Amino acid sequence: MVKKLNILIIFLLAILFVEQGFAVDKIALTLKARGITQLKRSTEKDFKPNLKVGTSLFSKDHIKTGKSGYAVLVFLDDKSQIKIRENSEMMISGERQKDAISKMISMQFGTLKAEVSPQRKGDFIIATPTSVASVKGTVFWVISDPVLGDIFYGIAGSIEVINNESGDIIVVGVNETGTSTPEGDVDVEETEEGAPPEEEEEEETDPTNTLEFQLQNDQGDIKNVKVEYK
Amino acid sequence: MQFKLYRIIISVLIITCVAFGQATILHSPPREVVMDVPILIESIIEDNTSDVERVRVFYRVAGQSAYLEEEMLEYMGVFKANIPAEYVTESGVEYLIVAEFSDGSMAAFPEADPYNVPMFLSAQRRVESVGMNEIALREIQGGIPSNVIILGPEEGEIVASEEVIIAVSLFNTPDVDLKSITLELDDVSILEYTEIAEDLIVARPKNVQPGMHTIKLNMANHIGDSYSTVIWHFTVVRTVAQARRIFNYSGRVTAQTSSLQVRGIRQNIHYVRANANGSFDWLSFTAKGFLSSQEDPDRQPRNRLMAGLKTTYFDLFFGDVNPQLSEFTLRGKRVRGLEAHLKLKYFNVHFVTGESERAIPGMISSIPDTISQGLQYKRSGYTYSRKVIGIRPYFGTGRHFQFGLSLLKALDDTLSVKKEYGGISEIDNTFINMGGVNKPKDNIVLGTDFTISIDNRRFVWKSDAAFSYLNRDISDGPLTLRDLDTFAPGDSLENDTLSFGEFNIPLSDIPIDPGDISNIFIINQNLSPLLPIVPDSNGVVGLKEFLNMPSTAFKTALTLNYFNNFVVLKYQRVGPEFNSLGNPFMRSDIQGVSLSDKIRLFSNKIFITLNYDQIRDNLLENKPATTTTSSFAAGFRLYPGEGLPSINFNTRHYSRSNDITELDTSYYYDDYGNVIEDSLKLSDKREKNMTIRQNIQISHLIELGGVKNNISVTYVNSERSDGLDNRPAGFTFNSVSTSMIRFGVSSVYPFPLKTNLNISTNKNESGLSSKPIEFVTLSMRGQYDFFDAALSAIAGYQMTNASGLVDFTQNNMYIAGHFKFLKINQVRGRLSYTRINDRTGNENFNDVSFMMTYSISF
Repeated sequence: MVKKLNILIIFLLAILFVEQGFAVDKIALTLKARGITQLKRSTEKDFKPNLKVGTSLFSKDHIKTGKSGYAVLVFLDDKSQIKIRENSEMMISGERQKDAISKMISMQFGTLKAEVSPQRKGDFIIATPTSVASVKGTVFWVISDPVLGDIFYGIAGSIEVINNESGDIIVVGVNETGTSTPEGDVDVEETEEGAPPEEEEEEETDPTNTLEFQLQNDQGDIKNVKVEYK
Repeated sequence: MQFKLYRIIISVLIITCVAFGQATILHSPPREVVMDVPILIESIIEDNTSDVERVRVFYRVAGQSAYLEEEMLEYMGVFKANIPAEYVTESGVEYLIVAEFSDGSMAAFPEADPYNVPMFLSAQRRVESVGMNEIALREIQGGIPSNVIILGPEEGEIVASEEVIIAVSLFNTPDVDLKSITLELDDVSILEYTEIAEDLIVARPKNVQPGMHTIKLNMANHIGDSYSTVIWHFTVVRTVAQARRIFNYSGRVTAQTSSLQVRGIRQNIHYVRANANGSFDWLSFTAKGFLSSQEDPDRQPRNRLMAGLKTTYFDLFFGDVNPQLSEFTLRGKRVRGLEAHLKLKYFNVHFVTGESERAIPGMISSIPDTISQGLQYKRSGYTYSRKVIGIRPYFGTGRHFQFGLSLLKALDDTLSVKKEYGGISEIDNTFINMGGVNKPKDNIVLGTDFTISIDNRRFVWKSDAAFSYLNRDISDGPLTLRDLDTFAPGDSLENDTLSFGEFNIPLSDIPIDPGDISNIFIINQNLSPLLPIVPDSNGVVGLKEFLNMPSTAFKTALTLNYFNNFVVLKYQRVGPEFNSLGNPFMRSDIQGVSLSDKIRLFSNKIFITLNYDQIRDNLLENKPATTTTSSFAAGFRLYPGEGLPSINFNTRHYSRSNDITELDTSYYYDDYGNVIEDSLKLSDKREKNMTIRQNIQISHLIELGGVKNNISVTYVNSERSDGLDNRPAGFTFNSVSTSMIRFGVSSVYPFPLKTNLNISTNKNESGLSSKPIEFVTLSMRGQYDFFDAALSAIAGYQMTNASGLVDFTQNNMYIAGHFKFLKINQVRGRLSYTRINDRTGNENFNDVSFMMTYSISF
């Protein structure tokens, strides 16, 4: 019995994952775009400014956000969403299959929130220079820095994070914070109150313009008037 | 007879457990646990010499520190409770069962240190659905159901006018004739603003006015058959900032009625469950309610009501809360009252106040006993209302350091249970004796804790310590300084002196009148412990005496996460007289260590878990024997990845022994005190037994012809044996042997059909039974979905055949259905027929049960 089990284990380990390449397919749509946003198609060399709402995204497209930048992408097959915060850069990849899209976000740096619907084909992968996170269906934040490492805030479901350096794996659950460093360290702990980034809508900069001037009456009283307009 | 037989059947069905002590909880862990599906926990109490007061299940997500509790309701001798679906996660579930008896004793499952080594259930994922989970709101008025996905705006979403984009994915509906597509906003075509591609419809209508709007999408396939119309709504506001300030809320209300018939006996249960969550700017709120027809003033509450507010710095909850102050004070016990939490990062305060037990009047004997002074009625089964107040100021977030102080005060309201009851009063020669075991109590617990975390939390050291005082009966109120004059046994002389044997303490030397501090703690002769520290035989208090204080508790745990090993080393000591009424089921009079390691290998494809723990009791060595329990558990999990089988193997060796080496001898005596000849009675109280339990499960997802089949095979075996072979004649050891083999297939077809097939055999043998019991069970279930799972039809069949000690065949057939309409409504129904051919009792039963549930989400 033990011998058969050993053979089975060796067999299983010998045929683990087979990495597959991704073809160029339309895989997602831009639902929101604010602030400084840029898009670079896989066939292009340079980023172009102003990612437009409604822009279709293809496999291996690059997206970059700058100051106050914000973008929301939605995948066509299952409505999984990626909310990209300011000062972020990533490549979205996906392989269209018969009934699903195998998805991967290659994140260079920045902050994003992933709202991943239950995946019908493989895991939803978010790869950073430090880690690879795979999920089947969950909500979480990722803050990635090539020097400092990654922080994962679990909101719903769970995320399996593999550290590229050490191979260590952590599973980040609801209300947990997972860290993964370039040195190979990983850790999971309870999320501190207020630690995860807030939703973009909650800290959006005021888009209004302001005009201020002073009025003075005959008695010399001065009154400041502030007018906000769009 | 029916009742007894039913108990036997269920007993064996749920696999008998090992019996220690008088009362035993019989329970079998559920075999199939699926994530996000409630778990039904069943148990039976056996060998109890006094009435069962209540049975509770304590549960938590595996790895969490605190438990939640749920009272198990009894039906035909079986106690049942559900672990809610939200606690059945990928991490697994841990739980234990605690029974309380009218004589004050308790039993637990598992028996050894249930709080620290609870039962563990791993939860399986559901087989992934082929159909889309996310469906649009549709009018089902003909047409082919489509699998379109509304990408935005979502149903009910509030969007700023400058961000309105209507997007629909046709990814899962490839056969659409693009020319047939019509898209309307408020019944006006917006095709001129619409881009239509092979798999995507995107529209950017201009100048959409604030207010609610309706989108309608129509389309047909390439042969001209129309798809169902897709309709959804959204609200437009002028700016993004305005959208943010709109009050957001969500919630769900569920009402269920059920009528269950078992062996001819019917039970009707109805409940309404509701929860709501909302937010406005920086404030969020939550509310929950559960109203059950099983609410009974003669039991602890089944209903639950809670409302709360949360902000970044302050939380406030009213109603039924389950606070977790600290390890030894209040930890998950339900409290009906108020919970507040101030969170300032470096200084924080957690505060709780309310009622943890409500008053239950109990009963009074119908026939009085005759005593010398007259007649005496006996009151029993009552429970006093218990008020608790707890506070824990703590410093630091715990990320690197945290230090906390905790105080718990629990006091029973002696006026909440009336002595005179049922029209019977204490007049003339009639007396009422409060004979129940639930005497009113007073309890105070002082605790402290600290956490140190370094090296990115690879090194975590956490310790808790607490000291308690319990007054086991405050019905006579506090002692006063004057009462102390004649308090000591044999001291009836009123001389303003407290006399203990040769010791005489003038009352004037006692600095505090105990009666003056009764509002803090009631001091009388029922204190536990009477002396917080016990001097040695010479009257000296040394380090040993300090460490062996009877009402202290201490626990420390060191966690190390290095080199792919997750090591936890724990030591705990809970004195025999440590009591916290906020954590009443904590086992006391124990001391022990545990060491566990979780090892990850081959990029976490293989997990190995090892655990050893040893606990002994009788810390003050004032019991007849010291019992030591040891447990070694090992687990092996192989998760090679998608497309490959997963293997889970666990084994546990549990031993229990005491230090008794001699047989207990006794004789019978005649009325004159003389030994009756040849009446020697031998009682063997020696313990040395071992239980070995192991299980292996192999599961694999195989796709054949587009059908996804999740195949699993499970084998479970458990043996309990006696390690002593020189037992006296007539001694019977309750050896237990169980084995179970199960084969299951869950299939998901390319069309909306799902099926399940399970076959299992189960054999149970007990040293106390004349013959074994064997079960063979076959179950089949099918579900077909219509209109993108808006409507589901389910049918199933289960056959159970038992032979041996019990002999019956049970056939169960059922039909069920789910119907979702207008997106937010769902109706579920189930009708079941069970035919039991009981060959043991030579009886037949035809049971019909039904259940109907309606839920609405908003």
